[in-house]
Amino acid sequence: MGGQTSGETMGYDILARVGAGVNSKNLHAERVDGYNPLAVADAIERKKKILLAGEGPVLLDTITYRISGHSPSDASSYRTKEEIAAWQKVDCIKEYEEYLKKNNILVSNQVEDFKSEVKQKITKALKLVSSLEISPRIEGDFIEKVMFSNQYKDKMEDRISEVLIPKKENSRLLSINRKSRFGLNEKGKSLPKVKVFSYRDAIFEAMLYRFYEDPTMVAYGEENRDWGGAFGVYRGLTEALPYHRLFNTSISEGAIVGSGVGYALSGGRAVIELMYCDFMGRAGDELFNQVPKWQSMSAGELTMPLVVRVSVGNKYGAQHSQDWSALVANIPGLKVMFPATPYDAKGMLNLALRGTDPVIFFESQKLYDIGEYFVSKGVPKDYYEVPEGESVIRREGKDITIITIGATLYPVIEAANELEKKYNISTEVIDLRFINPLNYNPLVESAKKTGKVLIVSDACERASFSHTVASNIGQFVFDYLDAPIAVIGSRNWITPAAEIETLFFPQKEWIIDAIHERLYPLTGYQITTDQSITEQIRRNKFGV
Amino acid sequence: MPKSIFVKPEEVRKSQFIKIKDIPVNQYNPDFPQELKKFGEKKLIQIYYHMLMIREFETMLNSIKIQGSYAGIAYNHRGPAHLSIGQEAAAVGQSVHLDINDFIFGSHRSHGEIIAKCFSAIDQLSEDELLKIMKTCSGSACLKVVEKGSKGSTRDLAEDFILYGLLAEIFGRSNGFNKGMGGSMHAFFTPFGSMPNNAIVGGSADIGVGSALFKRINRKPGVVICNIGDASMGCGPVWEALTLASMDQYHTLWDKKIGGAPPIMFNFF
Repeated sequence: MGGQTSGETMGYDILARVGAGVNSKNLHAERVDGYNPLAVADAIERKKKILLAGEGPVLLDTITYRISGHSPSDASSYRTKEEIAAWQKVDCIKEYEEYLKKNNILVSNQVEDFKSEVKQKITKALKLVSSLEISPRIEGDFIEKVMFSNQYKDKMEDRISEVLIPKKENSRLLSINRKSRFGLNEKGKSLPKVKVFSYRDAIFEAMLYRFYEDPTMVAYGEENRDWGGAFGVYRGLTEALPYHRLFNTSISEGAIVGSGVGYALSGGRAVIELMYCDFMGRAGDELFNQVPKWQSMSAGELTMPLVVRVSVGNKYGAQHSQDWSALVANIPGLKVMFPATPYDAKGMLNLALRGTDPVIFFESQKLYDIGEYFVSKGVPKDYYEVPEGESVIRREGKDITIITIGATLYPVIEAANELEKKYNISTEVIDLRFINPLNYNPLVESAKKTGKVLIVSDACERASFSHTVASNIGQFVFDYLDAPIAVIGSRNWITPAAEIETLFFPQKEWIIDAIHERLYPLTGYQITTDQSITEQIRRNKFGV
Repeated sequence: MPKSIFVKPEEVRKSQFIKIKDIPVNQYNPDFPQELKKFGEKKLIQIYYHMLMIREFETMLNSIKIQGSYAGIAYNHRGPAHLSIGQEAAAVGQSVHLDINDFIFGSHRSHGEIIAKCFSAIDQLSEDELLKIMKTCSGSACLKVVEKGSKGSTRDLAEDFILYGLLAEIFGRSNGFNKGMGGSMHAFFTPFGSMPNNAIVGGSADIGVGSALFKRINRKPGVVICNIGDASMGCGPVWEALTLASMDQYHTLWDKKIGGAPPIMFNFF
C-alpha cells in the first residue's frame, strides 16, 4: 500500500544493495528467490551459521509476489491482470509440486490426498472457532487484568551477575559514603553541593544495586558508558560492569527503545535512556505502540521489565527543555513516575527496577545536584521502595492544597513559606510522584480539607497532566471546593534562552498570584503577573 | 568516546577508495540429487504439505472475508485478514532450518510464517514435548477443544492445535494463543519460537535486534529473524535497527567470550 518500492518509492533498485551501505561485510546481503522454498532454506542455513558465529547481522532480500491484495477489500488497482497472471503461472506451490513430480517423489494421487487433508483440517478448525459455545470471547474485566503484569522479581534469571569488581570496592560508592545523606546541617542550612548525597547519586545507587542482583539487567543509550552519561548519573558503573551490560549506542532513539522492548519481552531486564525528554519524539512509535502494548496483546504471557529513563531538561532552549509527561500519561499500558527528591529517586527507581512492567521514569535536570530536604533521616543506604501510586505530603496545611509534579516542588515550597510568613496561610503541599498508576484518595482528602486546590508542573500548561488531575479532583469532590481548581504550567511557548527562562517556567510569584486571583485573596497583596481567568481565556484565544 | 580507540589523523585523512564486494542475486542453483540427499524425501514432501496448508488457511480467510463462508460454514469476521497468498515458499523455506530456539518476529501479514514455524517445530519435537507444550497453553483450553474426537497421532493433533489456536486468535476468541487480545495482525506462539507480529510497518526490526541482544548477552541458543516488508526499508527505525545491530563495539570492545554481534537477520519480503 506504500507504492511500489522498486521503480517508484525507493531508489535501491535491488534491496540487497542496502547492505553495502551499513558495514564492510555488506551485511552478508543477498537476494534470494522466495518462490523456491529450497533456495530460501539454503540461504537461511548459510546465514544462520554466520549469525551463530557472531558475524551478523544479515540482510536477506527475499523476492516474493503476493497474489492476494493488501487485504480482501483491495481492488488491486495498482497492478495489471497480466502481471498477476504472470506470477500465477510460476506460482510457488505449483512450481514446487511440478518439481517434486518431475523428480519422481510425488505422484498425482498424493497431491489429491494432501489437498483434501488440508481442506479437512482447515474446515475442522473453522467449525470449532465459529461456534461461540466452543470458542467464547473474553470479558472486559480480563483486559483490565492484563494491562499490567504487576509482578515483582529480584532477578529475571537465577544466576550470578557478571561484574568486574565487588560492589564495596566501587570508587563512587566509596566517595558517596563520605557525603551527608540529608541536605541540611544541624542549623537547618543547606550543605554545599559536593558534600551532599544528590539526586544523581540516588539513581546511581538504585542502578548499582539491581545490576548486582539481576544478571540479565543491561543499561544502554547515548553516552551511557565511560563518563557516566551526559549528567554523570552512571559515573562509577563503567569500572563495575563489562561492556555487554553497559554500553553506548548509536544515536538511534527509536531502536534504543524498540530493542529494549525486544530485550524485555525475551526475558531480560533493560534500562534504556533518552538523554532528553524532547527526544521521545524520535522514539514515538516505540514508546506509544510497542513498549505499552505487548504485555496486554499477549494476554499477559509476556512481561516487559523495561525502565525508560527520561531526563527533562532546561537551559538548552526549545528542543531540550520540555516535560512531556502528559503524552505518556495518555497511553494505556505504561507506568509513569517522576521523583522530585533523592529519597524518591532511589526508592522509586528501586520499585521500577524490581517490577515487570514498563516504566517511563522522568528525571529533572534541575534536580540532579539537589540533596534530600524532606526526609530528615536522610536517604537510607539500604534498599527500600516507595509504595506505587502514592503521592506524598511534603508539608501539611489546612487552607490551600498545592499539588506538584516534578521539580516545581521547590518553587512551590518557597511560595508556601512566603504564604505562611507574610499572610498566615497554611499550605498543604503534595508531591504527586506518580502519574500512573495514581491513588487519588489522599488528593481527595486534602481537597476536602482545604477546599482550594492549585496544581503546578513544568509541563506546558495546555493539555498537561495537571489538567487531568484537576479535572478528576473536580469531579470527585466538587461539593467541597470553594473555587475551581487552578493549574499553573509553563507558558504555551517555546522555551527561551536560559537567561530568560523565568519567563517560561512557573515561578514562585506566578503561584502566589494565582492563589490571590483565583483561590484565596491575600490582604494587601500586589500581583506581579496576570494569572486571572480573563488572561487564561485570552491566551487560549490566540493559542499561546 | 572510548579512549582505547585511537583516531589516527594519518589514517582517516589517507587517500583511498572504498571497495564494495559483490552482492549475490538469485544465485541458488537447484540440484535435485543434492537436495534429496540433504532433506530426504519425507522432508521435501513436508515442505509441500506445509505450503498447501498455509494456502488453504488463507484461502479460507479470503473466502470468509469476501463471501462470508467457507465449505458451507457461514461466518462474519469484522477484523482484518492480511493474506500472503503467493508467498508460502518464503515462509516455509525459512522455517526448515529453524528450531524452537530460533525466534521469528513478523508483520501484520504473518499467518503464513506462524504456520510454517509452528509446523516445522511440530516435525522436530518429540510427542512428549508437543503434549507438554499443548497442555501448558492457556491451561489446556485450546488442546481440550481439538483433542475431542481426534483419532490421529500427537503430531496430527498438534497441527490441529496450531490451526485452531491461530484461527481462534484471529477471530478474537479466548482459546486463541493470546486469548484473542492480539488478533490477526499480532498473533504469535512463543513455545515454538513464533514471536510477536507487529502491525506497524518495520516495527519488528528494532524489537528483533533487542531479542537478539538478549540472546547474545545472556548466551542463549538460537538466532532471531525479523520478517519485514520491502517498503519498511523506508522507515527510519529500520535503519536505526540495522545500525544498532552493526555496531563495531561487539567486535572491538566487548569481551570475545560474549560471541560477537547479536544474531539478527533482517529478512525483507
